[in-house]
Parts: sequence; structure tokens; C-alpha cells
Amino acid sequence: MSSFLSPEDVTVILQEVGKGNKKAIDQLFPLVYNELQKGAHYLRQQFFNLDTFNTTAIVHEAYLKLMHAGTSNLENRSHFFHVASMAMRQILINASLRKRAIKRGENPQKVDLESIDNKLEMSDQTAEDLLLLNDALKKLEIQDERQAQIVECRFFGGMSIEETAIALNISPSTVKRSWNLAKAWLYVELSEQ
Amino acid sequence: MAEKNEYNWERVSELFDQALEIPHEKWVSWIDTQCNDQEKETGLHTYVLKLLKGSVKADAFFEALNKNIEDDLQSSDEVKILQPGDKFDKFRIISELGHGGMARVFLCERDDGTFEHKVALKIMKIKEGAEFLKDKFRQEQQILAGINHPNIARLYDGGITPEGFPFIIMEYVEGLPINTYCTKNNLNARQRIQLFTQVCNALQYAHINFIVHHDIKPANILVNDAGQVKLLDFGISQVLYNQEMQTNNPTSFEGTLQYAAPEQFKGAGPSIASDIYKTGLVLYEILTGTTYNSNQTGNNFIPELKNSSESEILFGKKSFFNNKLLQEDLDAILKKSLALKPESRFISMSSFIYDLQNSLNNETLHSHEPTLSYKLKKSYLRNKGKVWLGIVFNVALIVSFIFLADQYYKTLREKERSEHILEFVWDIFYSVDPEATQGDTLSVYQLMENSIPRIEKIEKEPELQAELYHMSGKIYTRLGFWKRGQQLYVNALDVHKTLPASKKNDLAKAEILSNLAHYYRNNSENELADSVVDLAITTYRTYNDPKIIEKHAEALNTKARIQNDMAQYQQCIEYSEQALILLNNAFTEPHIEKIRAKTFMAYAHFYLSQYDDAFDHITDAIAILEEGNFETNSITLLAEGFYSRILAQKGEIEAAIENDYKIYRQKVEIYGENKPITLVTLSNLAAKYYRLKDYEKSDSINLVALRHYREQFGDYHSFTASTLFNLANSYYSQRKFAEAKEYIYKSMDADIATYGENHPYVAGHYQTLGLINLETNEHNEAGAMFFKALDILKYNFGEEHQNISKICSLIGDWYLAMNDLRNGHEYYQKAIDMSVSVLGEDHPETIKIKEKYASITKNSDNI
Repeated sequence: MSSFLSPEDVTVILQEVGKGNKKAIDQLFPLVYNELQKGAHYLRQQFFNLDTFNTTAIVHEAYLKLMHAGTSNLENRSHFFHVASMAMRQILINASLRKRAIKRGENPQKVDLESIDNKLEMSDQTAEDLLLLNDALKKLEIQDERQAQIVECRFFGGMSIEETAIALNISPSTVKRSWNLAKAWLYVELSEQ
Repeated sequence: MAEKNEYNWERVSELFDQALEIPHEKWVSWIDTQCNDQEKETGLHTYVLKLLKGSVKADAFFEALNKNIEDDLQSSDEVKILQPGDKFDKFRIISELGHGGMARVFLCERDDGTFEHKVALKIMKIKEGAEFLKDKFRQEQQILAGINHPNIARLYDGGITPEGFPFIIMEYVEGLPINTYCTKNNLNARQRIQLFTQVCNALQYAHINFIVHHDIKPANILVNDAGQVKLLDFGISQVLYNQEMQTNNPTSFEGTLQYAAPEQFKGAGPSIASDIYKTGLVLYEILTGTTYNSNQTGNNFIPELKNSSESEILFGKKSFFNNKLLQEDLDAILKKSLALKPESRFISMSSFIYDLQNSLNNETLHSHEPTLSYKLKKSYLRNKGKVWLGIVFNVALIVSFIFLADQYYKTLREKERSEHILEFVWDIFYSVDPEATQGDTLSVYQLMENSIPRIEKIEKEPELQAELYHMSGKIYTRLGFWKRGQQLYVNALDVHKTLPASKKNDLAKAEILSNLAHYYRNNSENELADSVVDLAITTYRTYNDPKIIEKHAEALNTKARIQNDMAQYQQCIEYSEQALILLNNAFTEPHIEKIRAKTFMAYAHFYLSQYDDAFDHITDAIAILEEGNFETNSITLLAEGFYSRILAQKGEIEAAIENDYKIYRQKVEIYGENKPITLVTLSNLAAKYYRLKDYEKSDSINLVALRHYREQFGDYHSFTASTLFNLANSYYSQRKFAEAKEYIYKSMDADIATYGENHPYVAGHYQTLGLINLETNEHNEAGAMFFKALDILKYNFGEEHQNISKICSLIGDWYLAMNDLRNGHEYYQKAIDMSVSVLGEDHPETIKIKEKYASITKNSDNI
């Protein structure tokens, strides 16, 4: 992603995302992904034990980086987090794949030493769990895309029920119910593997 | 597992949601009642039940997974962050060298392919209070950047990472800690001491530069394959030390605490004394192979190794400690360096080194005989020229010296020793040329300020208090804070009022007065300066003690200079002569005050237009200067600069220019290009080119000087003013009258601001303005200007003076231009008579005026 988008550009795209424009998501995804990739930067802070550090923190940092804080409304923010959740899922899966490759004695190709999925040192257990979860989530996507999106938002993006509801344009109670069901389904799916 | 689209997903969802509302144990029966037979047949009810059971564990699963991801991120992994191959600035990380509580160190190499160069990258883990610490860190870095010693690892660069962590890039030293190196190479005692002396040399160099290391320990002293010692972590540790003390986090400081000096536990800051203690610890460790325990008892520091098998291991087959004398010497040295009280330790690294060297040569030791040695002082003085320039001082050290002096005075009643210390501190400061340190002096100022309250408190010891005030005053003055210096001189004099009259007190007071006179003279308060210096001279005369000849001569020279400034040239000559006679009787060798006396005699003769005499005196001054091989300082430069001026006056302008260039090059080398003392020579050069009528060159040089003066001193400084004045005169000579006028007014504003309206300089401005007005046919204006100049000159010099003669001739010109022949002739006659009376019949100035008058009368006759 070479073109640089201003916070204003991002806002326009986010409005399109809100209208359900999938192309807008495709447009935004690489940008957010790139920003999250730079998580090595956040990792350095972590290295000095400055902040608590989790996926939510990374997503929030990326948001602050790409958007002017305070200039954006809750809707845009929710849409942004939605896209960021998708990107974060991708990043965690890449890191897990890398871990699996190393474990199998393969030499994963280093693309960017500074990128977060290269830096992220997954434990074997986490990596495997995440890859299995990802497989199950792919199945869920085929059967109920909405539910898969809720999982992305809630789990990978650390979004609240309200944020998820706004991002996906559904009611909070639907989010809550679907999230419960999706979790249960995924758990059953995983435990039967 | 069954695919969910086997079932009516909405139905599954509905049942699942509702079931969540009821207690778990009722799920089975509830589902049973809710599902119809068809649903049961397809297994939907079992499927919902499975999901429900799953939901109980799902939360825990996702939470656990989330936690795992978080943990992985948290621990991801320090090594991974700045891992081999990563870029840092212009460097690429090769490996991690060390990892401590406060910092991590990496081995890096240049990444831009310019040349192969390995460096060490140290990143600090500075957290709270980061801003303050970062400032300190930058300061430290600046200090260290000026440090260049073969036994100190070089600091190349430093800064703050984008994430806000301070880092430094320093010389990568491949080597072993000194203790390991000694053991591994099976060094004997002599070799160990020689190695250790390198450590001392490095520290001595640092201390002379007012930098304490503060974290001396074997891990920070590496020895490379060539046997060269390299000290690491210079000064940086201070920042961290403060940080640790503030955050009260002893765990990460643990490793260093082992090498802490006793006073540090009571909260004392870094000092030379604590460095000496720590160095002693290292010496102990490399001599005995064990760490020092301060609780140990017994008279000897070094165990009787010759009887133990350990000695064989430590010092090889031929134990050096078979030499009983060396063992005793080293014991004494260790005892002295590891003394509990800071004031009982070696007073400096050089005395430490001195004793170590002597122990190897079996000479008498300092440590046996604790007096502040003349040699020590000498060694500082010898080194001063080399190390002072461009250094920011750590005055914490000075303050600790003052404290030390105070301690001696109070607790030990060793007044004499206390005075020695003060003398020693002053010697160090004296070698600091204020011109060289401009811009770097503010931190010194601050630290000095901190020491003042301390001085205020010692009112029970008025003699010491007065002495400390005086010394601080001298330090401030030396650093260019004249006003503050003056205040402290006055403080010292106030304290003296309470002291009983005694020879010692009187002489101390005379010295303060003499210094105060300096201040008033610099401030153009000449009459005050004159009366103050008289008091000092009277005291010196009263006691007429051979020990005070230098101070007496200094005061006489100051008096001479004041007289010169007051245009009392004969008086100036008399006082300089008196100084010279005193000095010549006492010293056959060259003396700096002799140079001063000769220079002032040259000054006076010069202003009396006795250029040959002036030349003789200044040549004498230069000869003394060259014979004595004095280091360049403000006095020698004054003499050399004035030599040029006289050369120029004698018409040897090219030679003068050459001399000026020589001086300029010297100054650039010593002080740097933009320092005021260097720029003054530029102004002098410009003046010479002006005399050669090379206005282009003259103006361009002056403009360069002017720009720097303005930047550094503003529009109203006397340097700025005199450069403006020179430019104005040059424009006048080039008949660029508008520019000339503009510059004159600017210059005059500045001089009035500095010297007041009645200073002779201001008369000079009026004179030039009058000349310009004559050229631009503003005749009324011209007359007004000349008379203003005349009034000022009379106010300063009385009725007769060569400058008054000059202005009288100009007024004569003006009357003639106004066709007032009577007044014209009268003023010209006045001018000539005065010149004859002041300068003599044959004086070039007199001849010049006479010739001019002759040509005018001749012209008017022709008309």
C-alpha cells in the first residue's frame, strides 16, 4: 500500500464502510494492516515495560495514528475497529503460521524484520489454538458470515458489544446473542477436532 | 461434528438463546419439552444441548486464548525486539552484549556500507521522570563527546530513540574485565599495578575535566588483547545513579552497590573522593583476587600472601610480595584510598598515581605523609592548557572541594591545609580562560550559586567565610560573571569588617580590594576603581613583605591601567615602572606581571604619541613573553595585539597585519573562531586594512566581526559599538556619508548605553559626525558636534590634552569654512600651542597640525 491516506480520506472511506460498501473495506484494510504491522514499534515500548500490551492496545494505537483523535465519531471509530479486527486476525494468524513453520523445521521467509508478525513470538500452544480457531472461523464464515464478523470484532479487535453493533449495523442484543452462540459453536467445533 | 446447516439454524439459535436464560441443570428437560419429534429425530435437540454445554466452557477457552496472546505479546521477547539483523539508525545489530537492570547493550556495525566499523549501542531503560533525566543525559553526552583519552572508550553519538529511550553509541571494546584479565594472564603484582595505573590515568584525565565516573568496577574496566585498558560507561552512570536513588529501586542497583563508597549510603553524590574509593576497591580486587569487605579487621589490607598458596595462583611462581617493601607500600595506598572518610583519601588521582609509581620505585610515599603536595598542584597546572578548552565543568566537584576545605577547617582545625585546598581550586580555575568557555559557563554558574548558601552558613568561621566569598568572587569574575563576582567581593569585605586587624587579614583584604578594582575598571567606573586599588596598594606598601611582591605588583599594574584609562599617561608610566622595579628585584626570570607592566607602559607612550618608546616597551614585553614561554592567555594576547597596533602606527602596516594573522590563527586554534577574543583580532586586522586604504577588505572583515558580536552580545555591547564606529570611519573615508552617519549613530547609542554620555568615546562619535557634516555642507550641525566633543573632552581630560588639541584644530577648520577667520586662526593657534605643550615641538602630531595650518593659511592667502 503505497498511497498515503490522510485522516480525512480515512473518514470518507469509513463512511463508505458504514454504508456496507465492501470495496471500501478492501481499500482500508491494507492501510490498517500496515499500521498494525508496525507494531514492532509498540513492542519496543513493551520491551521497556511501559504499557500493558495487547491486541486492543495495538488496534487503538493504530487508530490514533491514522485518525485524528477526537475528530471522528463513534460510527467511524467502530467501522475502523472492524477493519482493524480483520487485520489483527490476519497478523496473529501469520505469526502463528510462522511459528508452525519454524517448529516444523522450515525456514520462514523474512519479509520485513521490523514487522510485528515477525517480532511476535508465539508460544506453540497459542499458535496452534489460533490456527485451529481460524479454520473453524472460516467454516463459520461460510455458514453465517455475520457471526464470523462478530467473532472478529469481539475477539480479535477487542471491540465492545456496542461498537460491534454499530460496526455491523445490528442491535446490541443481537450481537450479544450471536456472540454467545458463535463462541459455543466454535468451542464445540474445536473440541471435536 | 454435524454441520450446522443440517439444522434449521434459526431454530437452533432460538432454543440456544432461550436456554441460556434458565439454569443449566434444567437444560435437558427443557429442551426435551421444546423440541418436537421431528426435531428430535434429526438430533437437533442433542445438538443444541451440545452447544449449550460448550457455551459453559467457551468463555473460559476464549479468555484463556486471549490471555495467552497477551502473554505472548508481553514477553515477545526482549531478544526479539532488537534482534540481530535489525536496523538501528545507521547501524545494524549484530548481537546483544549485555543486559542489565538499567540498560541493554548491543554490538552493531555500520549499515550504510561506508566502512566496516563496529560499535556498541547502549539503550537506557529510563522510565519515570524521563524528561529531566533526558536533559541530564544530553548534558552528559555533550561532556563525554569532549573526552578523548586512549584509556576511555569513545562516545560517538547519542540521542533519544523514537520511542523515547536515551541511547548512546560508543566505541566497541573487545576485552576482558580487568580482574579476569589479570587472572587469566597470570600477571605479577608489578604488571597488575601498571595495568591499574592506566585506569588511574584515565580517571585523572576525567577528573581534571571535572567529570567523575561514579561507576568504577571491574566490569566497566576492560583490557584488550594489546593490554590496553578501556574505561566504559563514563559519566552516564551518574544519570542512572540519580534515577535509581529517586526511584528507590535498590535491586537493579545491586551490582553497583558492591562498589559504592561509604558516604554514598548517606546520600552523598558523585565526587572525586568516591571515585578514588572505588578505584581502591578495584585495586584491592586485582591484587588479592577477592572483593573487599570494609568490615574486615586487621592492620594489613593485603594478606600475607607470600606464605599462602594463593599467592602462587595470583602472582605466579615468583610472588612479588616477597618484596616486603612493596607489600607495605601497597597496604598504605589501599588504606588511604579506602579510608572511610572522603577527606582522608587521596586528594586526587594524580597523587594516587604518584604513590603507585613510587611504590614500584620504592620511594617515599605520599600516603605516609599527608600533605597537599606542590607537585600535585604542578601537575594540574602543567596540564591545564591541554584540557580546559571547550569543557563544561562539573562544579559539583568544586563545591565538594569547598566542602572539603570547610571540613578541614571546622573539624580538623587544619587551617593551613584548608587554605591549600582553596589555593588549589583557584589554581584550577585560574587556568580556565573565560573567553574560551563562553557559552559553557551557565551550568557552572548554577552550581556556584548552590555553593553560596553553604558559604553563608559558615559564619562561625569568618576568616574562612571571607576567603570562600573571595574565591567564589574570583571564579565568577573569571567566568565572565563580573557583577556577581563583585557582589561576592563585597560580601568578603563585609566579613572582613568584623575581623580583627592583623597582617594576615589586612593582606587578604588588600587582595579583595585589588580584585574589586579590576571589576570597577572593567565597568568603566575608573574613579572608584582608582580609589579602591589605592587602598590595596597602601596596605601592600605598609607591610612591604617579599612574599606579597607579586600581589603588590599586580595592584600597581591595575592602578597603571586605570590611570591609562583616565588619560593620565604619565601616572600610568610611573605605576608600571614601580611594578616593574619590584618585580625585577624579586625575580630574575620572566614573569607575567612584567609583561603587563611593559604593555601598559607601551600603552601610555603610545597615547602620548611617543611611538618609539611605545615600540621599545612592547618589544620588551614580547621578549619576556617569548623567553618565559607563557601559555597564551589574555595578558599575552594583549601584549601581542598591542605590538601590532604600534607596528601599524610606525607605518609597518604589512608587518602588523602579518602579526595580527599570526595572533588570529593562534586564537582560532585555542579559543575557536567565533569567540569574542578571536573576533577582536579580526577587528584589529580590519583597522590595519583601513590604514592601507583597502576599504573593501577592511569593511568585509568588520562586517563579519559585527555579525558575530551582535549575535553574541546584542546591539549595545562595547565590541559591537567599536566595530560600528570603525565601519563608520571607513565609510567616511570612502565618502559614503549617509552610511557613515547611520553607523555612527548606532555606535553612539551603544557607547552611551555602556559608558554614559560623557565618555571620551562619545566625543569621538561627535567628532566624526562633525566631519561628516562638514563634507555634506551641514555647517551649523558640524559646529555643534565639534563643540559637544570639546565639552566632553574637557570634562574628562581638563584643559589640555592631545585629543583636545585635535578637536580644536577641527573647530578651527570649521570656523574657516564658515569664513570666521578670526576664530578659525584662534582655534588653530590653540591647537598648536596645546600640542606643543602636551606632546612637544617635534612631535609628529604637532608637526601635522602645523603643516595643515600652514597649508590653510597659504590657500587663504592665495584667495
